[in-house]
Amino acid sequence: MNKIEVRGLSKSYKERRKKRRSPGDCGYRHGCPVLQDLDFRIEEGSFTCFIGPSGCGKSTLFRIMAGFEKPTTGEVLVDGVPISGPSTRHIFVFQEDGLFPWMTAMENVALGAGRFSDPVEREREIRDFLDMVGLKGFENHYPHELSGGMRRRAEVARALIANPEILLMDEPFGALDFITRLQMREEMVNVHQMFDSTILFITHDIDEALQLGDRIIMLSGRPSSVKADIPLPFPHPRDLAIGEMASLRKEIYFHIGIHAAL
Amino acid sequence: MALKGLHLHPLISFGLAILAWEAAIRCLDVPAYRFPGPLAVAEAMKELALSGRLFASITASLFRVTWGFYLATCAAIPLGLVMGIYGPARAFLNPLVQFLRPISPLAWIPVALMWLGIGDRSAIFLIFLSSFFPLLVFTMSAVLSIKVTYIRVGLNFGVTGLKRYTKILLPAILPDIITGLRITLGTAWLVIVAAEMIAVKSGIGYLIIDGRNSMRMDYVVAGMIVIGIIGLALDWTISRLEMLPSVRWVRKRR
Amino acid sequence: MALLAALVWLVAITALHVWMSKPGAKKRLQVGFLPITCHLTCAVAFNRLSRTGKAFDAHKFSAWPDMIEALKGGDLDVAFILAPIAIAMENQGFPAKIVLLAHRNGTALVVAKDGGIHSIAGLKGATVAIPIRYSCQMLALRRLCRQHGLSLRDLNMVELSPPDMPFALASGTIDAYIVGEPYAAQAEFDGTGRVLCQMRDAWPGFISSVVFVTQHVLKDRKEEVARLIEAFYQAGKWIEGHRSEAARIAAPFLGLPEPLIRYVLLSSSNRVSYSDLVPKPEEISNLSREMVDAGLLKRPMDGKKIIDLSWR
Repeated sequence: MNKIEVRGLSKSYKERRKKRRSPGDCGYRHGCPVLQDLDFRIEEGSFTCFIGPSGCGKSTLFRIMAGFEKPTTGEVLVDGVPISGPSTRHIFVFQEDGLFPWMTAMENVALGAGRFSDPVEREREIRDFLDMVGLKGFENHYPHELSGGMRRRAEVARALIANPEILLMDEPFGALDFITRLQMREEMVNVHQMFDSTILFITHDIDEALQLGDRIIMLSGRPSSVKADIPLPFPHPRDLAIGEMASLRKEIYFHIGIHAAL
Repeated sequence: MALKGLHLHPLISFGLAILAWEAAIRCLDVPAYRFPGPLAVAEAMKELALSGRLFASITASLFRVTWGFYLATCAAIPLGLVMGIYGPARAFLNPLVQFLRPISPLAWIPVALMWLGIGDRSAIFLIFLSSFFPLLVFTMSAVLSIKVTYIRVGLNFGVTGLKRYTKILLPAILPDIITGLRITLGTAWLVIVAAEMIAVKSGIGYLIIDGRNSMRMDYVVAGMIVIGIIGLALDWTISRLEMLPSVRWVRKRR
Repeated sequence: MALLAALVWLVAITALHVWMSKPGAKKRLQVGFLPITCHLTCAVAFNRLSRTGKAFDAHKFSAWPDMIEALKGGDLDVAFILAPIAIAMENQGFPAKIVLLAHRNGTALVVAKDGGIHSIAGLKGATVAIPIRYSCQMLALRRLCRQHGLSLRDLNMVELSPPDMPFALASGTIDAYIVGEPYAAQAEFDGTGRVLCQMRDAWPGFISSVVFVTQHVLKDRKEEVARLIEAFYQAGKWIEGHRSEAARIAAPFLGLPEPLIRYVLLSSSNRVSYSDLVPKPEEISNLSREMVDAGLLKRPMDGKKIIDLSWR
């Protein structure tokens, strides 16, 4: 069953500069195309990873799907209905720190807990979610008092407690150190298994995409279009070094122009 | 050790400065009416303190700075918020603000005297002017420079209506505003001396001007020192605001 | 918390300030003066009236412009102010009249003690400070120059606040200055300056400041003002007979060192003079003509119209 349908989606930004920087640069009047004619469907409850070169428009695509921006042409349908704006039904986890630094971990998570009307129940839920992401005992800490990984976990908890139908994660672990990243990956696999949310996940890390996703959508350079759509019907935990995973990994590296998979 | 050093260093530097002062006065044989030495100034300070004049002057100056600064805060922050949030208001008022801002409060002295007469009101008005425009600009640019992520997170989690302002906008700009307050208070304290040179019969600025007119350089220097000390005290007090838990994040981030 | 502290502070400092600056009896006449010996009658009258409990509120200013603003702003009823300023204000339609002179003479041209200037003619090319353009000192300088074949264009004239003049002379910033006492005596006192010319010799009966009273108090508080002006007048007469005592009384009021005032008052009998203080119309007319010549006024004024002697 399709949860999200992206149809003929294009986005161009108005160019502010009057002069072209170079002949190949986009002109003033026509706008600068970022996304061109994107078409894909996302299955309900799936985990889809988006990879592609830097600046190819992945984040723009996500912002449109989250309702923060409007497409130039085309549309995004959720359950057959076009997206009209931001909503707690599709929560965005930002590339940079999206926690409010002036709120404690608990207050931040409480932002997503609006659906619980009973205050006692709400507080219990908030504590449960913080506990789940391993932040028990840090409820009253401010973000700047938490480590990078803890902050990401708090943000994931804030997103999950809202019980979103769609979770849009824009390179959520990009700024973390290697070990913490691996831990977060593992936790994301658990999250995917425990929650029904349809997860969309941008990453630069092909291994991350291979380990997490049910599917990889590879976007081309600017203006962006779908370059490859790779299903990953493998059980977790996955070992990237052997078997079909290993050959697939090589294939993807080859796709992006790196001939010897590292 | 670090803590000890923290308290010791200023003491040493001040001590050296005073010694250098005394030495310079003695070596160059500067007569007291030109520039008094530290001992003469300490004597003058004692004289002023015992007569109650020092305390009355400090009270008067602080009174004026407090009112001018508070009034400016109460006026500038709301207006700055409106100008930051609402584009047309900014387009309308910003040119005017940018035009008035560089006019030194001191240039307003004749106008202030004409409108408000001699006394506290004029001085308060000048302090108000010196604080109002910087605070207004601080607030406005704080609103304009809020991270777009915070606004999106708010939209995403359905924070709407008044809560958008109380939960997101205000806390996000609070650190910038506190920095603005700190800088502005410093300016206000700078301006008070000038403001009190208008015919008010009290305040530290008056103490200095009166000291000059009556050729009491020791009073002048004593007044200068008091201004320095109170300036430090004010800055220290307002810097406590930066220690508030909901504000401290900025320091960490930097 | 912080807000509460801020509020408590506001209340505390306001209460303290109000308590410390207890207002005097309301609605007394507001008199403005500067700390110069020219305004000695103000000090003496204040001292005498205070003893009988019928004092006025005296506001000490440090510069003429501030006093002008205060006068225009309605904060002063009576001002000891330079005659040209009074004439110019009256000419601009400011409702006030000259009722009395502050004193006579009391202005001197001072040069650096060891400087090379020994005559008025020697001022050619020198930097000379005056208190303000609208001053009798400027008119006097102009007259002196004229008498010695110079014009003001031959010197570099700067405006300087009187208390700064002795220091400016000592530091060599200026070569000479013309000012009301005690700032001429100050340089003699410090040993940095020498009086080149006393006004009593160059311009007999020289007027510096006048007592300038606003029309509304002249009309509405006729008797009270008359008593006050009479007190200034009598103070002048008394000073002439009690110069030493006058110096003692005036020093704390003006905020000037007593020895300096004594020196000004006692060094010679008419360095400053407090007799003959009732203004004569022709004196004021003449002054206004000098102002026209100096470009301070468009056309001369009739002294009779500026002077109000109804208090006599």
